[in-house]
Amino acid sequence: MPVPVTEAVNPRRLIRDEVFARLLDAIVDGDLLPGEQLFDAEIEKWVGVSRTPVREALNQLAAMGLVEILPQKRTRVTPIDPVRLRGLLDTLGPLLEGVVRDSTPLLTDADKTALKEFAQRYTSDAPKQIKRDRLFTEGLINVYLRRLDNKTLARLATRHLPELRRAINAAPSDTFFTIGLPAFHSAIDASVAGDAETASAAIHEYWNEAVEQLVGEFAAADKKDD
Amino acid sequence: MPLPVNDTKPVERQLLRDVVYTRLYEGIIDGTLEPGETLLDDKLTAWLGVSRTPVREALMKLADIGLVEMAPNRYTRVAPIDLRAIDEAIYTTGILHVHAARTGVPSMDAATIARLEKASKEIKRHAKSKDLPALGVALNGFFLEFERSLDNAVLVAVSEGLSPQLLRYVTVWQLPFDTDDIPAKIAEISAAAKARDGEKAAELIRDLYEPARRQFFDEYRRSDAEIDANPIV
Repeated sequence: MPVPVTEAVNPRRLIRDEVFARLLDAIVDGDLLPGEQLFDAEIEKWVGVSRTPVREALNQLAAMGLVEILPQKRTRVTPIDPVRLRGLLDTLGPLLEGVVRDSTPLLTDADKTALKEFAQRYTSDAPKQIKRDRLFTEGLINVYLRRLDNKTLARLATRHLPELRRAINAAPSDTFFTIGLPAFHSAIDASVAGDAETASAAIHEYWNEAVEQLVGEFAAADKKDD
Repeated sequence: MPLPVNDTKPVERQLLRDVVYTRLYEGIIDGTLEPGETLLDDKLTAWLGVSRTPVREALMKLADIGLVEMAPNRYTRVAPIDLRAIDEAIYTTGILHVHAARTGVPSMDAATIARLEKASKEIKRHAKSKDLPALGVALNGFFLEFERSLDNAVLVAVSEGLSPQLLRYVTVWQLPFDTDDIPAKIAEISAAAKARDGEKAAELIRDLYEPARRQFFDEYRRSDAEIDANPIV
């Protein structure tokens, strides 16, 4: 499978991964802005590596929807497009519902403790703190993905969640956060209680309400710009 | 074929990388390049008549969808057949197809219905002649219609990315979907779509994919101790 668990340590691989990780963080955190043009030479200088690992990292980011490469023309950070964002969310939503439904009966006591800790941190006065916390979104979902043990599903989530996290970081307001609170907590509570159907229904509700709000805000902001 | 080279887009200048990608993709799917076969840059550049860069880029894309394995400075090879990966891909596409059917079928256009019916007939024909590779292609095409009807580029790309696992390995399925009457099941799904009954279509697809999901838990998922010792994420 595409993500080999054991791999020989290799200098070239490490350099590419390093470039990739730095660009990924910069894009997701908004240090590189949506639509911002990227120049190979500048990245090479910034990270201090040669062209090949930079191109490889950019190709990888392009496959994740975070970078747009127009050969012979330009490379830029993908702008946040409400249509694409909706498509992304309409893909991740059903996958995560499936993951939560199928992994909830399998959760161990340690998993449940971890979920409860996430729930405690997700309160109405926490949005700003959680927004930038890359371990929150992925960390929480990873509890379910890990227990399910389906590498294909985990790979898809790992690939597409950063694009969602970028949108959350760039969200025009924190409203989606507040709106999503009740459904989020029902999902965690049901998971801890081992109730798979209720947990996955709550994820569905969270997606319909909070995520709908998020996409709506981007669409409204887009309209205002026109 | 899952590659987006069909009717929807105007013809764009094809990148060398994409040409190489297509050639290698097809070579792997049809078995010209065998599972486990080592891929040497020199041989590939000679075979395809292009330079190293597009070859490397195409190989990385193929590694991305699990058709090629790259261990830097050790080997690049056609990914060996991995039954667990196949099962996981079917399990995962099942989730997406169910979702696509439920949300897309109620407003599905007549042209898509016509394509479903056509694919359904092809499936019947290929099943009768036991042409497994052709059956795989037809089944894959049938189900992708549901995603393609939704106007969601991400969903289509993700589903297409899972297709090669299904396509390439269709010949090793002993009994695809654990039923000896796939054509009848497909015809039922097609009829539910024609009646614009999204719930019914979704339910039928879920039933069809259920054995693959079941198989994952029965045969491939590891024990909690193994998961905790070596977690996938």
